Amino acid sequence: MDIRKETAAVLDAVLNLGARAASLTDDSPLLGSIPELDSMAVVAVITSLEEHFGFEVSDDDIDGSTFQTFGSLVGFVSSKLG
Amino acid sequence: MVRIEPRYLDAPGGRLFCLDVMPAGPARGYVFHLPAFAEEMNKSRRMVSLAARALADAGWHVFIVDPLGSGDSEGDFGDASLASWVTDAAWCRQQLPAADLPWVWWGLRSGALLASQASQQAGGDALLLWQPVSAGKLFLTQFLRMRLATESLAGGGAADTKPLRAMLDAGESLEVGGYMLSPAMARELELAELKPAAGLPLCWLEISAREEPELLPASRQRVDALRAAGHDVQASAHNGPMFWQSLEISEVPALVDASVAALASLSLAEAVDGVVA
Repeated sequence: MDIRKETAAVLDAVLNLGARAASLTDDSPLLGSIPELDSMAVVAVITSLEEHFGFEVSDDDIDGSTFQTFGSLVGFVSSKLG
Repeated sequence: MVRIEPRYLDAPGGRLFCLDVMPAGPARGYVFHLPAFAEEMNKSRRMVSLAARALADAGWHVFIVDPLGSGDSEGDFGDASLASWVTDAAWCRQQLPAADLPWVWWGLRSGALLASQASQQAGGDALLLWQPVSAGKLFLTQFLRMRLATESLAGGGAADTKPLRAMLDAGESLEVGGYMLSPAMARELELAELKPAAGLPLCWLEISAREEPELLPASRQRVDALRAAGHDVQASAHNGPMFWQSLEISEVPALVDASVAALASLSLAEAVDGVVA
């Protein structure tokens, strides 16, 4: 499974990123840079990641750095998939 | 021509609003809908109605019953329980004289949990599942998070549902998105799992945002597990928006078509064709 591609697909589905989804790199900033990504959307992304990959995000799993960049989010997903 | 008739059912727990969506001719079987939870149920009414009409067109008698405490049925959401919803669904099945026709439980989202429980309690011939929730525990967490979503996550605060769970554990009801979640309902959700009656065939249909739709990785695992447990599972994904949560009411015609095709291909349907014809 291509975790990077799957994660981009989840972001695209929730945030409707369109072409921006294809151009995401590890360094692409997320929180604060993608206007659609407000607190409601963060919750929706977390929920969609859970349903997509089948893991459960506990309250302690996420901190400020998780949604910093696309790379940090992919790293988070990889760690959840173990 | 599909016939649609509203009526009330005097179920043990209270009066339930029921919409009968029926074929013009004799029915080949019954499909009983178990809806999604709270606001998801409202968002998905249009899709449920579209699919019910299409199924009736294909010869199925579809029941769309608002569970106690929801829609036009009696009672308050905060007093309802998953167990009472399942009991009412089972009661509906027992009211029918023609129990010889096939019976399909059609569950949407967390309604899939109810459908699987109903099949345990009242039998049935197949499950039609739309984007099934397979673990109530995760679903509860996600439901509680909605209450937190309006609070700022700026500064990276996690969506911490622990304080909410503590309130529920202490016996307090919580309002989430305009719905009162009782401690009892929360406990039921926490424990609910997708466990259909042994040997029941399943049609597992879901939505995919991809142009070439495929099952979610998590669903593939779940479907494999159900097959390993002896269920005949037809599973497929269809392109479209997540209509049960999208801001605008949306439609996924491909999901409607797939539902009709899935039920048509059930071997039980073939057996009944002979009887009806």
